[in-house]
Amino acid sequence: MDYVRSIFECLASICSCWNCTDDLSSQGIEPSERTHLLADSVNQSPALRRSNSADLSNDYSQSLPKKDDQNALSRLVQNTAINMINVGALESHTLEHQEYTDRIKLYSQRLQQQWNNIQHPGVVLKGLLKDVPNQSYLSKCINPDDTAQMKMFIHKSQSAVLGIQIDHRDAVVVPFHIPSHIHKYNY
Amino acid sequence: MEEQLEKVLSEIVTQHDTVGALLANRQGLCLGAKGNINPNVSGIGMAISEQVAKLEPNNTVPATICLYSGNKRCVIQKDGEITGIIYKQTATTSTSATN
Repeated sequence: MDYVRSIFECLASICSCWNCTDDLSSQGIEPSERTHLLADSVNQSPALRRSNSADLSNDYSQSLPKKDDQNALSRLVQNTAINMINVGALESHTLEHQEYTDRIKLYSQRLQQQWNNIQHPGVVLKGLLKDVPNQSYLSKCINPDDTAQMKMFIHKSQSAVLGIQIDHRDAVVVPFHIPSHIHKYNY
Repeated sequence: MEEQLEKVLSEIVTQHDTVGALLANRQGLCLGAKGNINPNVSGIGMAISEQVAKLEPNNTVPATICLYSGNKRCVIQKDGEITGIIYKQTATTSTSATN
């Protein structure tokens, strides 16, 4: 539905362009910075195919002088081509919704495959020496007296470290002894 | 200031077989040392305890490390921010095999 709506909007803009180009051409606007330098772009635009300039010139040949008519028509076609977006050319880049979802599925599937192939070191090895069997590094038991002594030492130390306070005896702000002759020069 | 800490260290050093005690902070800097122990070992003691803690990262109980050398042994433990190192020496030469 969006696609159809966009086509309608495009057609509506083309119609409005027709009107505006009519106004512009009737006022006799000279080639400006917006006029196309390449003649090919005018020929490629579907507006030109739709409104064949030869047919138009035949229709209006009686009512208008021939030279002015040709000029007006060419200007009209040129202005239309400037204000137009070639939807036909854009179509090749757009994806159908089905194709879009298919690609999402395919890419996520491939990502999942690659993810499974990776060895995740953070998950597999938690801690050092995990590849050593039977925890052979814990071969000798520590003397329980040593453990108890250390536990007591750490416990007492923690509270002692928390109790550390700075008792400053000197003045916190120390005045600089600036020589008096500097004052003399300043004032 | 750190009288309390000095008191704790002095108390530890007077215990049986203990020849020196040291306390290191999170950065491995020596907070205090007493007895026959070099204050410069605070950094390496803290580093050893950190490595040992990686053996079982899920274990909440702080690991105790004991290094044996002849009749001497060095006990290290890191609990939270601080690391304690105690040097011990038995009067009779220990013949126990170490691995």
